[in-house]
Amino acid sequence: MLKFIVRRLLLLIPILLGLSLLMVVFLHMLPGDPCGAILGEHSTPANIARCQHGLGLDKPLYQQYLDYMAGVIHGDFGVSATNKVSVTTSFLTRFPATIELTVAAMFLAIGIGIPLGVAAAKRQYSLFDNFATVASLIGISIPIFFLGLLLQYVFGVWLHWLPTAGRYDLGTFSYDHAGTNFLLWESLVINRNPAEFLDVVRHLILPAVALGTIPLAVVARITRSAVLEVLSEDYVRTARAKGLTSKRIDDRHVLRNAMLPISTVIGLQTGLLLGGAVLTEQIFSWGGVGNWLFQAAVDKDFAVIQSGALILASIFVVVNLIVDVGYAYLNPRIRYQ
Amino acid sequence: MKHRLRALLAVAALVFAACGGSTATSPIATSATAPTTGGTASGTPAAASGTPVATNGGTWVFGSATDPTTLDAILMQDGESIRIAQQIYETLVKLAPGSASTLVPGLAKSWDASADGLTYTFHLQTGVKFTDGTDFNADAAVYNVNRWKNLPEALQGDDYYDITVFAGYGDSSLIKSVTKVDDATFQMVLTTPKADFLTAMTLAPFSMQSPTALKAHNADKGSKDTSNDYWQKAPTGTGPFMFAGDFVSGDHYTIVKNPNYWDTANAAHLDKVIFKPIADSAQRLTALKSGTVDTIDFVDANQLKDVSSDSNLQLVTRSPLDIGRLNMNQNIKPFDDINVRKAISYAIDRKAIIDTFFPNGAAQAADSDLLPSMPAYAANATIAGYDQQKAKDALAASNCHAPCKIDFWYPDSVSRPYMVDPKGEFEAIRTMLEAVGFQITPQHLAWKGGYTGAEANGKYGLAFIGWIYDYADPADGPGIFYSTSLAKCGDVTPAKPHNCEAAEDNPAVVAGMAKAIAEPDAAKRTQDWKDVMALINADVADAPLVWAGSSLGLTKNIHGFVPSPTQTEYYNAVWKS
Repeated sequence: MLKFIVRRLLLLIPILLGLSLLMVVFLHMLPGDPCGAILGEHSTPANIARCQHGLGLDKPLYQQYLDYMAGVIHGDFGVSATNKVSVTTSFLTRFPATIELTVAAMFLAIGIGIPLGVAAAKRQYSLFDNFATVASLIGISIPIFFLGLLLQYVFGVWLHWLPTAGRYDLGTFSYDHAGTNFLLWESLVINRNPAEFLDVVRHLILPAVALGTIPLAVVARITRSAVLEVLSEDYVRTARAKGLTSKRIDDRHVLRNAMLPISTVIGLQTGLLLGGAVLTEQIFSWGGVGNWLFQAAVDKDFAVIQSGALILASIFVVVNLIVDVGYAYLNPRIRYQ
Repeated sequence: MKHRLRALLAVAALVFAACGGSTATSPIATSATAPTTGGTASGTPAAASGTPVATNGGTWVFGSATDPTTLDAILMQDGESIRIAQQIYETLVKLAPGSASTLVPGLAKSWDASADGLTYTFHLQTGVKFTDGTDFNADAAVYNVNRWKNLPEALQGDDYYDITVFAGYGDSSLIKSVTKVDDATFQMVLTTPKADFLTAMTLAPFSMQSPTALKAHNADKGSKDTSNDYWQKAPTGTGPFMFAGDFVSGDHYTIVKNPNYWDTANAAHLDKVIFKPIADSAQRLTALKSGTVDTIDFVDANQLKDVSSDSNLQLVTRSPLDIGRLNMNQNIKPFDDINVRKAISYAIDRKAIIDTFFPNGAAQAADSDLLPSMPAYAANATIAGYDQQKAKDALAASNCHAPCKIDFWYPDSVSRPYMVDPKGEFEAIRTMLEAVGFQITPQHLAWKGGYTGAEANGKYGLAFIGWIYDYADPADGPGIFYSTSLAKCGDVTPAKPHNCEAAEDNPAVVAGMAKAIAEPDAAKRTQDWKDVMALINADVADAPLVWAGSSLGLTKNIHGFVPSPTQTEYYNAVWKS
């Protein structure tokens, strides 16, 4: 197993090298550069020339790439051309926000999707099953931006129940951001302030619902089909014939075996969400990685796009590795070479 | 399983109960005591419609568009950085609140200019301290001015205002010397007269920063990293607010009241101002209407009615200081032909554009690159207005007969106060031009994809562009558009970059502008600019389209906000009820 993990991690090196090369080529094929974004109306030729010189964009492309990679090897991912904050600092500040949102969305997806899928499978073709199928179809089909805006309008603008932007009430609470930037953790465990915690939860609800709806629907559908498949297996019939209780059969045979495809989907969805829920973070002004990368792409902020892609690719590979390793736990017959 | 489900439902109920319960304390609920009708204010203090007695304390959450990009003052060039800097830093000379041109004392209580316009003596306020506890005095002022003059090379790529105002660094700078006279007096000597010098000194990039703080972070040594370290950790000025040490990129930037502010009569009312970046204007409006933020800037033209009709909100509109225009490059055919340029200018129905794209008074039809509020604006030296027949006649008299084929450039993925819907406005203008005999080939490029750079480099013949004045002076506008004559534009290289967007083919314009910029006498200078503008308008060097201002939306419980055409807005007078 250890050999397998090490080999997969070593594979990261060619993946990241290839990705960095592709990124640098693609980015420089696009028209414009960060100077156009920075200078706006002030883009006189003299100003552009000075700006490009300042950012090293007047050097040959290979030289820019080598300079960048030399920095990366030394742990320096560069500085944003637009807001001058180092990529590492921005990422470390923003990634906890994305993790918190992802966990909340996946909490909803798993917490509701799996029970929904199991219940639908066990009542196949019933009214409930039809309802669950239609609901999950809607969940998969509804665009996030539409759902996000709808939620904002209904619960924020119309009912005034929930906030529509940010991670906490800036006017009421303040957090020591020298800490973790995991606000749920900080408010509950470090500050031990239930009011703060509830405030953070209130800010989390709408984006988590918007982001979690598609994974929820996917998980529910996969769970339903996986459970249906397992329910028709011989060993389940044998278990029933042995007189085991329904709960025991579900827990020990059905769910455990159905979890293989479900965990794959959960792993992939989590990896995707960690890569930045661009639309959700944009709509809810969530200070996460997706929001950051989107703005960097708009501003042609090369350092942020390049480094962000490298970091997120690494995370995606690691999450998938964790899923693969999880298979072995769920199904001891699986052996990795 | 049933027990678990019940527990889950109970938790959900608790959370929603918390949501519902908290509405009672949300900003919107509190503002129920505010007046029940929506309101607008145009170029006037918002306090006029509010409660008369200011109260101290409270937190103002301001929905900005982006994070600040630097608060090392001399390197700032974007509005969001300047918005914050105007609260934590101060300049020697200030603009009177709400004014685009009236100078009032700042950190200098008075100043004298020599008759030749070369020497300026500043008499400084006394008893002023930076927020790090060090003294603001002539030594500090001299240190700052020397930093502008000798801006380290590593930082020059980030600079705009320093090079624009002082034309260079070191020996090339307009600043010949700066010397301390005594603790409260210092002198700046310029190499050539610059009539808009004092007005330029009101710009936030020319704020005074603590030399001690700059040195402590090695920001004076001239590396980008040390400059960033300085502004991200300890930007230090003398303003009524100071950095709270709380900057989370992408989430918020917080400033708090300076408890030791030197000008006690103008100390801040608010305890805290938090800037919350929300990039999308629709999301900013949603955040305002839901009570997540107290104020938003740059309300879109199509959102103005939404804000003004909301009983919880007030709309504040800045007097116009932005110009939307069609640039015509005389270096590219057929725009070298004055009759073609005339035909374009005559063909455009500016009122129709405003009615369609700038509802609710968001803009006015422009007949000059200057604004009527500028002394040099003269109604008798403006371009001719909409007249289709004259447009057809002019085109017939030109060398480009109908259908006269031209490329017409417009930017994608952008909205500016003077250009709210570039593609829509382009289509409208295209229809107007085709109605008089032009045949348009649409050309477009993303605003941040190199559009502005290519335009300034003189690559486009006809281009939709605009300008946001930093201060109400023609030097900051026509002085830039027409700064390079056609003769020089044939020779543009990276080493000799010229601003060739217009490539003005009239040496008298370039010469006249140089004379106006150097003229120290205000009256003579105004006349010089009138003469230059008459030449520019006679040449039809461009086609001005609209004069526009920007608008803010505020909740009704925010008072004392004074809008400025130049966005030189001081938050010390703002208070929250």
